[in-house]
Amino acid sequence: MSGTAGRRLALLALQNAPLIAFVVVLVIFASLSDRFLTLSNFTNIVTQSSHIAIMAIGITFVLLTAGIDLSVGAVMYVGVAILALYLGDLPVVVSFPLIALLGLALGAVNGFFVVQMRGLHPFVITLAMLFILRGAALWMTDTRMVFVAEPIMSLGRTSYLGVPWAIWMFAAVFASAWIVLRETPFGRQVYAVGQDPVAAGKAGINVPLVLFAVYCICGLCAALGGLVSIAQVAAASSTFGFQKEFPVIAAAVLGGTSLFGGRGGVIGTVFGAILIQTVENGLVMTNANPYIYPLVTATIIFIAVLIDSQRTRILEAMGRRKIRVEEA
Amino acid sequence: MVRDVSFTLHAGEVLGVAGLMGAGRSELARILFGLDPFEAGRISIGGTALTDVSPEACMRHGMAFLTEDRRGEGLMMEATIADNTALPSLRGYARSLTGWIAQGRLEADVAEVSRRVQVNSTDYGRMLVKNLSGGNQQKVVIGKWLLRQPRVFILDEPTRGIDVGAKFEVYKIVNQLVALGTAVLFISSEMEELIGMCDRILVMNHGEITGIHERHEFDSERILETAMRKNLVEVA
Repeated sequence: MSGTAGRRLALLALQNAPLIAFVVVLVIFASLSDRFLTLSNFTNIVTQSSHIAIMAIGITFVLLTAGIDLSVGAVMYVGVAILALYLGDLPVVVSFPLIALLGLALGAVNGFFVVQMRGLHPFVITLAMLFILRGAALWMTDTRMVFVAEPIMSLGRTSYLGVPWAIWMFAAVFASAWIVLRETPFGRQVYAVGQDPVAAGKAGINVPLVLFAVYCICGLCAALGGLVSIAQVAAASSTFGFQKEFPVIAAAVLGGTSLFGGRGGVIGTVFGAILIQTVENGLVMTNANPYIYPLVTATIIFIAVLIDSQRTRILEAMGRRKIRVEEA
Repeated sequence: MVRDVSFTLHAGEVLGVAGLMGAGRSELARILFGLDPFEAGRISIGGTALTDVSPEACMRHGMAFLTEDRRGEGLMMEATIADNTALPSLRGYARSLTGWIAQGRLEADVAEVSRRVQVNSTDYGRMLVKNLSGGNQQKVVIGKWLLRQPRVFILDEPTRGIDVGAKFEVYKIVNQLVALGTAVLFISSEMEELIGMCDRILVMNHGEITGIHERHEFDSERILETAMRKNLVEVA
């Protein structure tokens, strides 16, 4: 029976892995830098993590259906490139919704192919989308750096009620996603499709429609993430959004969303995104060698996937039916 | 393959479907529920012909389908009793204004229906379906369709592989449903069960209906004969 108890303990640790990791990270960096544990630094961390968090919330929907979307970074870049090149003269209240719609439409293209080409894994479809969109954006910008107009830059510096604009966006996306997943039939159907698409179909769920919708949501969130990011940095070079899919997926998986579908949620995702940003912030604060940043990020991603596989393995082992002998 | 199948299922009636393995009974059920396509024909419920035959459309018209393979098709093993039961009914519990689920009402109704089918666990919100016995899994499947209050209920081998007690409970549930005016299509390979439960028995062989027996002429020998009729002709 000690095996069961040990497994339970391991599972508890794995399920709270982001929390444990967060505490460990805090302790390490706080001991290395006295500027780390300050309120202003934390506002900073949350602001910086908001674009990753927004995109990670979008990809959480896709991961919950056991799919994947590698094109988020490219969607982000295309949106920002179009915003800077063609929509610069429009007021923000017009241009931002247009870019958000563009993201939704690009997500819809992903969703369409995922639904239509059942035999092809979403990995391949969205990978193709990544190259197409990145290529298109590089072509549009001539690989030069693009700049956004002053109103957008000032937006990045705006605060309402003392809270930066980026955090408001982040909070709004998070709250909407949380409500959709928890409180609406669609949210429950997303989980059902991830757990067992065949059984979900038999229960009358329009599985293709749900799949299509999650890719739309992911595209929308990717474009929103791009907008939040560009308002902060004001200029987008040809590497804008490059390899963003990795921290975004890592944030979701670190937060407990399974790559195998059906398990997870957006609260964990937010935690994962902040955790990743905290690590980067801590590395900066402690004057770490910039060359080790990618090593640390890669390690985090590896750990995230490792945790997910271990968690799934233990859950499967625990879920196996035990044969009970009825006492006479 | 199912050919030239035509029958009427009345409200408050149990229509049995008998036949040997491969007679086309499950295929018929899958076609009726829109899971498999058909080339020609018409399905109507309460006088209105279905224009679009898909599981969603069939469910909108009050149809429910208990599949033969509950482990593979009918249930999500990794989900709880409550989640499985609620799944086909979610839309009905969405508030009209916000579209959010009325969680309290849903939970209460799920508990009510689970009690009615006597699922052997009261922790509906946490008990995973894969940890239930076959009979109890079957009750969860029945419960999830009962929550939708179906007008037409297709049962494909509802008692296969479950214990005697659970079988008896399934019969009780079917009788209650019929008393409330539900039309039941009861597919089974067990002759005693069909004779005991049904008002009429439709017999299939090689994808065709080879006979319909009324209650007063129920006789396992004769039904079996009808089930092999085509074969006999072919041999002769």
